[in-house]
Amino acid sequence: MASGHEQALGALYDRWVTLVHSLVLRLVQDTNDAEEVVEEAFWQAWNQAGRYDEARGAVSTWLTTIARSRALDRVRARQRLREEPWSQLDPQQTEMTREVEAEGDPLQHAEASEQRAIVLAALGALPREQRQTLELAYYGGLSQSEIATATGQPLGTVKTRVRLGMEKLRERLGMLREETR
Amino acid sequence: MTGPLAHEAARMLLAAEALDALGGEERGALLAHLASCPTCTRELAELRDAAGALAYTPATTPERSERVRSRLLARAAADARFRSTPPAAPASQPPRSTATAPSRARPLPWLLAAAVALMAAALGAYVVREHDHATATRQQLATLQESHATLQSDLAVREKELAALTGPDVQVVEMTAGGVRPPSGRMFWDQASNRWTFIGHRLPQPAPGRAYQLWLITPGKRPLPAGAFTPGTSGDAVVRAEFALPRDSLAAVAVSVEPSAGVKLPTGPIILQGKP
Repeated sequence: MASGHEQALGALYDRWVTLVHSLVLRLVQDTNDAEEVVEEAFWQAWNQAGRYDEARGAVSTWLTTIARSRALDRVRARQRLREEPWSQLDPQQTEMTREVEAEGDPLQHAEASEQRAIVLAALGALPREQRQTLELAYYGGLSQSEIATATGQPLGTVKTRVRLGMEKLRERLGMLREETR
Repeated sequence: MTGPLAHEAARMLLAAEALDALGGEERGALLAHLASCPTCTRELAELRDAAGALAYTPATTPERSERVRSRLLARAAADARFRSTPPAAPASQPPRSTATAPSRARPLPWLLAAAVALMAAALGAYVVREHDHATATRQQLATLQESHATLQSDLAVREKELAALTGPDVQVVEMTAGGVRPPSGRMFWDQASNRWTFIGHRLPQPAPGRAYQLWLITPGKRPLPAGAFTPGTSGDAVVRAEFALPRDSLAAVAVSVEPSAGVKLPTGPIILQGKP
């Protein structure tokens, strides 16, 4: 019989798995790696739950930050160890090896979709270069200097785009959340 | 960068820090400033939440893995059992009644914090508080834990790789070619986990626009494309994949030279092949 500890961890998993799994899959692009990274992210969050500090941000931010870090670690480890991602296999000839997963909670799925719509609307209001810079930082795990190198833009330009993009994003998110209340 | 950051200069760095995109030197200077600036700390929390919103942009996947859920609970159970071994009791402790539940060594505030975390809504209201000077110490601890986690991550990848080569259900297919210093390869097929690992040596660089492609040949069926790759400058290549093939249904493994975009059926010369 699960103890209170395990039940709480199960509840944490149930509450956030949709968001965490979607993000991790987007970052690692591999369903098996995603499964392992999702498990490690929840395990880390569980072990560090005592360190969660409201003053540093919302729960979703804290969890997705952990998930994003573990996912980027896995991507970088794969690159370091020169592992080829499995991307060319003909899908019609591949058998799916993952067991059929349980259907997620439809309410949670709907909530995540609604939040996603809000965020996409906020991002859509940004100038293209600012949005692309934020995406490179968030999904690519790149530092500002690395973004400058990757895009050929001056470092000062990248820094300005990061600053203005984040300020606009914060502002738009605040407005959109007010509207949906 | 020497000397402490001025407040305005620190404010300019917050957005990048929220995205985890600050370089090491600037980050160190900012963290030092944050240790004594509640205004910047508050603003950073708001920007972090805005950055956290980017986590919502990928398409939502509805599936949740029962396997992962069970494994997590099993790990927690094993952990709790390990931790609930009572420490050496000081003489002043009252005798434990046999009717009560076994005591847990984890302190109660930890459990409360976990419970609080569960109650919060997604993208909730920004709750802010004053910080004390423990912030800098916590951030240093966070950095150390990140390094630890990176090492764990690398270790996990290595362990997975080893298992696919050395497990009891691994079938090894030796692959050869003619010639004086021929390329060679092996395909490791871990039939327990359906993980395939191809390791090739002395593979020449393919011509521009061309790449090698792996094939799994099954009796009576078309060859299955198993991944396109180009070797490293040393001529070595490692390709990994996972998919299920019934045991005893592998007739051969082959590598051919194809257009780099990949093809559905082999068209080019076969440079390596082997039978199980």
